[in-house]
Amino acid sequence: MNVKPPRWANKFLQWYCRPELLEEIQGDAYELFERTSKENPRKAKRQFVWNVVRFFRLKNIRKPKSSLTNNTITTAMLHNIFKVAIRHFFRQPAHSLLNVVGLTVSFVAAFLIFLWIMYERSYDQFHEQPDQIYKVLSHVEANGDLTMMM
Amino acid sequence: MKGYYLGELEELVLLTVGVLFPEAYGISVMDEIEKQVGRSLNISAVHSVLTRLEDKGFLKSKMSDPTEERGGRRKRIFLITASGKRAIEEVNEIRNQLYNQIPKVALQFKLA
Repeated sequence: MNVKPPRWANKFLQWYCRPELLEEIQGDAYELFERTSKENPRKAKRQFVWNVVRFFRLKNIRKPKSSLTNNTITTAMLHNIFKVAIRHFFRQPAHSLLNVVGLTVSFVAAFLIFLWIMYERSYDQFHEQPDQIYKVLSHVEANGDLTMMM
Repeated sequence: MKGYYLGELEELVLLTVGVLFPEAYGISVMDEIEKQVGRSLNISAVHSVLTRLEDKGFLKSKMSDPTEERGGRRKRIFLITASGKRAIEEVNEIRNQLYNQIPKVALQFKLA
């Protein structure tokens, strides 16, 4: 048979179709095409294109490679880590609590220091070269008291 | 129906796969249904019903030999499983049961 099915429809089918289903779907479309192209090649081409469109269903479309699957820390590994952590907590609660409390205190301290520094650097920014201006403080003993002079 | 729920088209396709043993694949099922029942279905509809039946466990499939005129591609041949056979039988039985319970009067359409 010299008549071939429309090339772009074929390419479209090969592009979207799941590889494991491509053989049967393409084979059926080709067989129908061969049958009708003997009497009416134009109708056969239209039928082929319509079939390719009708085959464009969710079940037949290929799944894109999911980029959410890790290969450093898999989901199973996470589950295991949590399981072991919970078991350790129930066996030696003091040890676990000490770790947790220590980490909490350090996180809070670091966060508060960060906030203070952000605050200190947020005012007096209207001068021309704020990084180059310094404020001098000196401790002076006057009248028997220790005061600060700027 | 104890889990053997079959839609109307599914039942039709399942019976046709039984009739066409052992050469039941997408196109042959489509042709047979058109020949015997007169319903012209699209090939993708037939494919999706066949896959659904296979997922329900009523059919199993295997790939045939590649020595054909389909450009050397293989076909997926479908066969009925034991579960599929029970499904067909049960649907048939229930339908007959209900039909036999209809009183004759309900089906009489004479001019009174």
